[in-house]
Amino acid sequence: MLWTIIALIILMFFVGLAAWLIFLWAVKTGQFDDIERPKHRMMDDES
Amino acid sequence: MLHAASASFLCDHCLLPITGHEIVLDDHPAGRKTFCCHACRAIYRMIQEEGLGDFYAKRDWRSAGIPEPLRRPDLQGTETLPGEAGPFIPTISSNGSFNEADLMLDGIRCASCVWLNEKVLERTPGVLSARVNFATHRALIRWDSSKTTLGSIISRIRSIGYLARPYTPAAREEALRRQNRDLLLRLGTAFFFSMQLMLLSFGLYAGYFQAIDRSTKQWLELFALLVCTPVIFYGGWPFLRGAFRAVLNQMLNMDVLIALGALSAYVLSIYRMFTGGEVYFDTAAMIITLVLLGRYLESSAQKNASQAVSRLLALQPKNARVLRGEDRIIIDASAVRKGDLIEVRPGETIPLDGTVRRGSTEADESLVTGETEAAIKTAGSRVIGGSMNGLGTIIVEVTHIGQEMVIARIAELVELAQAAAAPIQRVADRVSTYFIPFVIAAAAATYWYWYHSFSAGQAAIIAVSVLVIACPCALGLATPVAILAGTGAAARKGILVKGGDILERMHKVDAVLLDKTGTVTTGKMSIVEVMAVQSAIRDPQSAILQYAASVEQGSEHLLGAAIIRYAREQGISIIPSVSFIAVPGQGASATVAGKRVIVGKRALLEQEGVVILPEVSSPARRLENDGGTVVYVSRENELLGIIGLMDTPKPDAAEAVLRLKRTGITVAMITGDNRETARVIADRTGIEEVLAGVLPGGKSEEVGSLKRSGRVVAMVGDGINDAPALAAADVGMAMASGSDIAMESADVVIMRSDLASVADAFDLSRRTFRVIKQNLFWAFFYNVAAIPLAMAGFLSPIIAAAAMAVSSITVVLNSLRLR
Repeated sequence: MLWTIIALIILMFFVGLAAWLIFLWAVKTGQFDDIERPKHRMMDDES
Repeated sequence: MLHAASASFLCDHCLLPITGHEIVLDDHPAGRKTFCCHACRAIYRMIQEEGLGDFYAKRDWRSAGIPEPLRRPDLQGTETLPGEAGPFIPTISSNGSFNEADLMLDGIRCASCVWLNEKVLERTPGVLSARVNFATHRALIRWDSSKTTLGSIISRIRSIGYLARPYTPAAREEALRRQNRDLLLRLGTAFFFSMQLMLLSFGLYAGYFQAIDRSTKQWLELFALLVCTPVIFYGGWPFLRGAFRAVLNQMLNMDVLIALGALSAYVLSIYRMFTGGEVYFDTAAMIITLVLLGRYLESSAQKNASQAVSRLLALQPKNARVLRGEDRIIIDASAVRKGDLIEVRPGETIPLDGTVRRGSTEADESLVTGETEAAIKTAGSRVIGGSMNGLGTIIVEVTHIGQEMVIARIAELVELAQAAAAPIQRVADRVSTYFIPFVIAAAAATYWYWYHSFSAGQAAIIAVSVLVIACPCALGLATPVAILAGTGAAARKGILVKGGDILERMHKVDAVLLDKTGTVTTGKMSIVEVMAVQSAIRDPQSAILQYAASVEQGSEHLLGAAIIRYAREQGISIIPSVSFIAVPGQGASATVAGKRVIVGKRALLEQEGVVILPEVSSPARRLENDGGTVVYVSRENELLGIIGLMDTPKPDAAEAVLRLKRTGITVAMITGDNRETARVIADRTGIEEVLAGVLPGGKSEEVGSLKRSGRVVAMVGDGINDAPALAAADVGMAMASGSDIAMESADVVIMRSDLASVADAFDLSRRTFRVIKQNLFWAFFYNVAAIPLAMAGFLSPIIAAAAMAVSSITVVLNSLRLR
């Protein structure tokens, strides 16, 4: 029983870690640099 | 005079070479010192008297202010600079007799850096002027290109230890962006690990209530330690560092309180892991995460404002269509000179500030004024660069270019506001200063009490648990969230506050001085009455207006413009007139439809032999007593009637004055007009006190005397003559429609130019401050309430977690009320 819990905790930890790594990647590649502009971009003329 | 060749001495303060005849000597205990000027000697003495003499021993201006990473390869070009080379070319603008460049100085730390740079540059031969802005680290340098080069100016700056870079909004944004990214990384990391930690903590909470076997608990605690550590030491690093620095300087601030709480919870938990008992990893991590969240909100608010600035500047079109004789050529907007005529076609964005010369249109100025209704522009109206032209083609004479434009100045104000936003943050620091000794005293008392009943170890644990619960996690959120909500609400209402300290001063204001013309009143003459002499003509009122407007179409007089506007509004057609003659200060005459019409003062008409009938005398006198102006109209030397004009109060003035008075603020009107005229306007708006007949220069004295009587004074005005009073007042508020000088001297700019916004601004500052105080109270309340529990030895992780969650939610919800 205890080992099941520990295994699950470790599994959970790695799922969380994966999410964290994705977050790190997102910040490093500038995904969060401008969260205001992209939502208006579709209104722009492509000129 | 500053060439090293002619210098045998170096100034002991500023290290500039001194030429013989300029030397200033001072005998000092440490020996004879030499200075280049009296200012340097005075500062040297001051520094010595303050006991800061070490400054001279420690300083190293060769390395000061430039951290090594800033010497990036792309800046290497600036190190040698043969003439005007490298990345500086785009920032140089030549203006006939001189060149001008906008630089950003790295290494500006204090006002004395600003002073030093300005002085050194001004003494450099060939430099005409140098102005350094402390808040934005921006230097505007003008030099004579025949005497010096930008390269030598930059090496001059470098020789005193600062690095000059071309100033662009992009460079500033880049710096902000890097800072924001670092904070986001820390916040994100803290969030992800805190999330994991909370899952484990819930297991432990369940164990606390339902019992848990020892090995499971230890495993959970081990994992908790694992995920808590990065939160404390990576996420919390800025606070730990800040706290360490503060303690080294023997200061107490918010960082110290946070570090104390988080570290004591962390250390206590590790100790408990080995000895048994409850752990507080969740408390430690939550403190850090919530404070980081507060910092992030603050920083992203700054970033948003900075992006708003870039967006504002991006609104200005790149090109302008300039009239050259009969041709229209499209050139770069930055190449347009003052006085050029530009054509703006329907639907185009107006590229520069100017005055309409031909044509009429409606312009959408919502971006600048916040006013959604389109403004009507006819010949003589001012248009703002960046606003949208409506359906007419207009020819505009350019009056402002580059940095003088309205949008460029607004952008500068926003930047300044960001740089000066800090003072409110000190509220939290100030509270912490009093709170920390209290907490430590409580912990010490607890230790002393339990020491007698238990072992020293047990007593220490209970004392540390006091420290754990005492740290309010919502403290980091209390001010930023409230300011974020408050400034957001102000901006939506078109109120631009230049700094956080101004918000603080504004809620203490108990007297408001309103300038009459342009602030209380519209500043424009409008027609209040048209009275016809009883005579044979049909529809006498519109006939009078028609004749008057037809005559005045040749005139540029203010009253004439008002009459024409009113006639147009009434749908009265204007007849072409011939042989127009203006009599300055008196009126005008012209031939309209074959008949000679005179429009003007009573004296002019009498001169021309017009009989002023007694039936108009009494209404004319009444109008004049009310502060109005009366214009007489005659046709073929026969009096037709009179037109009464008056500068009327703004429609919302009375309501705004009432709102101000209701909050306990004394409202007074200040004007150069005579008492009677001023009284009429004051009575119509409900203003009790009137300071009438004040000379143009006397307004700031009136402000000064009010201040001396112990009042906190706000001055609201818009004219050039109001500028000294705006600067003298505790809070100066300028109408955006007014003069540039007024806006520069003011602390608050009202974009919509109405009095309701003034009342809104006071209202908002009061509410923001009330919310900050409430937030601080609630942030501390739950934790302080739990201190007795901790002192009694009853603290459990559940109580700590509940105190954190409830106080944070209270603070956030309370701030949202400002929206």
